[in-house]
Amino acid sequence: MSSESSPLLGDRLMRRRSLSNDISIDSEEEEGSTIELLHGENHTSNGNCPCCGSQECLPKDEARPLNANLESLDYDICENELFQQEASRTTHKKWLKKQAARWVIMFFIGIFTALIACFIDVMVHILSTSKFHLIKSYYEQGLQKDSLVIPLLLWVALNVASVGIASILTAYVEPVAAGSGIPQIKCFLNGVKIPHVVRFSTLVCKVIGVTLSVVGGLAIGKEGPMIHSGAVVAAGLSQGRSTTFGFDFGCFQMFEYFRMDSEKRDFVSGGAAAGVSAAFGAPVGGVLFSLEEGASFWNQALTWRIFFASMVTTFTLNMMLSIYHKKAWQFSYPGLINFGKFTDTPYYGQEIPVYILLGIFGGLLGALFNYINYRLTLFRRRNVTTRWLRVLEAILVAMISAVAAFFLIYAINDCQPFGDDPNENPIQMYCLDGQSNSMATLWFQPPEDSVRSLFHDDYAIYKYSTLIAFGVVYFFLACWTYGISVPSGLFIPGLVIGAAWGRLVALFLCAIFPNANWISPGKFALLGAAAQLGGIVRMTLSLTVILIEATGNITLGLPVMIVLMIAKWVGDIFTEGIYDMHIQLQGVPVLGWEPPEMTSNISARKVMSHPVVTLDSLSHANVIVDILKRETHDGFPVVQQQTESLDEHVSIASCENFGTLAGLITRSQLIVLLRQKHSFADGSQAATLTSRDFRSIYPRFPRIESLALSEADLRCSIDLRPFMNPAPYVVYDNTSLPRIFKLFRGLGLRHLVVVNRRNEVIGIVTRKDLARYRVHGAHLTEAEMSA
Amino acid sequence: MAFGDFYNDIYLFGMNRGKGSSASGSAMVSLYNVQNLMMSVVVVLACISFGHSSLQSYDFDPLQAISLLDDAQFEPIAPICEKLVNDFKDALANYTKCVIENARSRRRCELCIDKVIQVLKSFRLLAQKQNGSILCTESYPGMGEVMVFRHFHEFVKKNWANGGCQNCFAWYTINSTISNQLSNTTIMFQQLSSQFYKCLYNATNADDSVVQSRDFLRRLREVHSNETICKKCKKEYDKLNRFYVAKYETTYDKDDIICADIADSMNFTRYIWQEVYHCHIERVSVWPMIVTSVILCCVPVVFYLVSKIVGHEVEPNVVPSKRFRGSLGARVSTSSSIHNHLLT
Repeated sequence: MSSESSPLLGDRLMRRRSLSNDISIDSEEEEGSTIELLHGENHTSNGNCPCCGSQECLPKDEARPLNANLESLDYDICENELFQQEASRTTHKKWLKKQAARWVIMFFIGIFTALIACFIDVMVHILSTSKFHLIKSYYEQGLQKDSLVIPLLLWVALNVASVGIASILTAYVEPVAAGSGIPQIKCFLNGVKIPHVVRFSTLVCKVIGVTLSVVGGLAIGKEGPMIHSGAVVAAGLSQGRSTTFGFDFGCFQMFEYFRMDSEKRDFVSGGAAAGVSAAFGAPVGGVLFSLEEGASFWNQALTWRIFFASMVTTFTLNMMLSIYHKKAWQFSYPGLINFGKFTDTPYYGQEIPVYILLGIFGGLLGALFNYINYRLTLFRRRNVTTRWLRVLEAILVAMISAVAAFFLIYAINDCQPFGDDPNENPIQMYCLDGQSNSMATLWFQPPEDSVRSLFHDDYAIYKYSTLIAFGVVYFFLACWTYGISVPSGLFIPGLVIGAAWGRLVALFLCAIFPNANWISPGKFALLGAAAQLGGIVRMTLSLTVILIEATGNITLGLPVMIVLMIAKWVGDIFTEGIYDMHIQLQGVPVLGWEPPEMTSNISARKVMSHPVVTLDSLSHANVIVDILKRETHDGFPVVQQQTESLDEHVSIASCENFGTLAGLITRSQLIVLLRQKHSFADGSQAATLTSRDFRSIYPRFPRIESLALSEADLRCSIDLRPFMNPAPYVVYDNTSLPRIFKLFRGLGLRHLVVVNRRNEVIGIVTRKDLARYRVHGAHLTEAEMSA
Repeated sequence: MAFGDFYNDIYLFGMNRGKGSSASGSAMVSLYNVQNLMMSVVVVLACISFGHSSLQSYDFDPLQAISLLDDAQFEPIAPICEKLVNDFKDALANYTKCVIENARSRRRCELCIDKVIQVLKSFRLLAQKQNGSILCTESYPGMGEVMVFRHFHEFVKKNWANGGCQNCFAWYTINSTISNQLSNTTIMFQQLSSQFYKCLYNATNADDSVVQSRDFLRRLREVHSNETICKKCKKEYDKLNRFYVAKYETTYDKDDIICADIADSMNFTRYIWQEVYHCHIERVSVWPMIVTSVILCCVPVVFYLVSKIVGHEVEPNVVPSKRFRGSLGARVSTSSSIHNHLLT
């Protein structure tokens, strides 16, 4: 078909097809058998290995394949002719306007994130207070009428209704809104496009879902979803449009500049920071969170803008909440700081060994948490697959949460006088008047307030039995809950569990050293919470700062850091952090901070994908359409038409090459070209297309199948040179993996062309080629791809 | 420390006092502060006089210098000031006496309100200019003593407020004189409280002689009959208790320290109700609840078992990487394959 119109291109196409023929990959069945054969050979030590058969093979990591359907984001700017033309028109004034637009957008990201946080906060407060008020009144009636079945069923019903709505929203509208969203944002900042993750509908599901699930009494927090919400706000605002709702403010030039992956990413990192800042009242923690999760693209000017967004968020949120609490403009109102301020908590150097023990314990418990959650997630992926099953599961979790709480309140009669910061709906149960059931105090409030209670309530408020029972039940509930189909944060459950056992440790120590004045339950609760959370999520820098900021206590910075560090080290011996675990389970090709160890001897030849589908600089539309339909690749090296004979090439490189590199063109660019019917052989009409045409349909490019192209269109040929990236990043075929990795991650690349000494394309490295190298145990393994 | 012990003794039911107990703690602290302060005043005075003497040691005999100070360089104290200071002193003594004497009373605030007003009034006079020109506090040499007046005044105010008495009353200032009456909440509470006690007296046939006798509790126990009382007065007690809980035990406003009289009286009432008469809530029958819980708990187990059985194991659908095809390509000699193709 194509060979007639363009002999050279056709030749290459046929050449590739001939390879396929030789190894007889024609039908699916045979393809399967070939792969098997290949596997078998790969396991043998002397078998030939990918690309040019020169290197030894790595063992396969078959349990955790990478998801082949996920696409990368491209943070590299395509400096094609159109870009050059646009750049030449850019004046200093325009540049200033663009800079100003960045600040304005960051400002609004801060404001809107805070408004969302405020909405969630206030709604959770109103709804859960009225819920507990209702249950409490039925409790009292039940105690009079000799039956507690009605309050139990009421509690279950309220939980189920609330969580049911949340999970239906999540399962049927936007499944990506489930969970905390931090793994997804982490992936986004790392450069992987998770479908739907920054859509407006996701935001709506997330906000409503998390409000209802917190109100529904699940063992979750609203902090993680807050971070996700901030990121969505940022992505939406920076683009100035929503495809879901079909509005577009593209007419303001302001947004138009930012319709590319790299700009969007900068804003999203600002939004994530604003989310953290709104969730914990921790602006610096927010900035550091973005740094920790997406540090590959860090620069100072961006940091400052992100900090600006975070501060705006904190300020706005404080303002709104101070009005809500009827203390307008009083930013020092203690109700605004999430976990309450710690005052008068001295600590001495001698206590540090105790903190180390706390850290170890936190790491162990965190690893256990992650392990259980891992098994559970595997089970869910296999067996809880349909939407209605997911909804049902969420409902069951909500139900059991209520039953467990109810049962504990009944079973453990821990009566304590009202503290200084009493629960709004205390349950007396069988306590004397003037006292309340302290187990009920912990359950009858949103989990965030439970953290506050555990941190700040008096020494004697919670007995051993209360803390043990509460801690254990909460541990398993939280573990079970994370992963069901509702938006759910992990921070608060982690803190609650840790605060419970931290307090318990303080009680034990007090029993052993009755006269010690350094044992304060609040301090130990905080450190236990830090250790537990650190053991689960394995965040370091940002978590330390978040906790310091959320408790307004810099004095305890050192102990918090110590426990977090130890907890991470101990936990890392057993399992990965829960976010990384879920990222891996989803097969997302994320690149870590550092290249995998023991990979210095792996060269580009082994890493790269091969063979490469290339395009000629002057290609026929039908060839392009054919390739786009057939291949799933996104980047296509554009090569110069070859003049030398093929044999020569093969013999020199000892590896098949695909022509001299001229540039790189992406699928989205090709689709825009085809869509605009830009089929002009002479290229004289290139001026009619501008960069704006490419930006205007970003980020949702139509699929190739959806393009209506006539026969006449298909017969035209297209000059790709004005549109391709004429200077793509390339590496030589003997570059080592760590070097490629650093280049790739540092620049946020999507494609990296591998060339030989004669600048001939021999392969292409994408994110998945790098991410498949994993250190598993003490061995380097290679992940499979799954569709 | 003896003072602290004493303070603990005062609160017979300190454990149940909630906010009140912390307030008493701070009052205690401020008393200590005053003691310390007085000590430091003495030390400071000594230092000042010593400092003077050392400064002038080369020119004057230090002892002579001090005696010069002693020999009244100030004007004699105006009689009016002397009276005012005496008034203040007496008011202070009366207040302290009242507080300590009525420490066990559940009407401490009510009984001492006059005394505290007296202290405030006398200090106000003392701090005012008399006859338009004389400021009595200035007649006392050295800042230290002036501070003592002020500190005692502050102490009384703080003690009154932190002791929880401030909120028993509604305060008015009419024509620059302070006046007070019981606050609405206090009146409401007292009404509810008296209703309860009326009921209790009726039910137990206790008369005033019983109530006012020193071994009131013992006598109450003698005449009690649990069930009838619990049944008869439950309504009144619940009303009172609910009012108290709603007003004081479940509010978030920490600035609002509970009135000590009310707290003490409520504690006492609860003590009578719960410890003397043992009027508890009946334990509800537990089985219906447990059965319901167990049934509910079984649902998830069934859910997971069924999904385990029904659910189909989805093996990860491993797709071949291009790399492998490439490797095969490399193995079947590339050039020959191309030749083959070209030939065909």
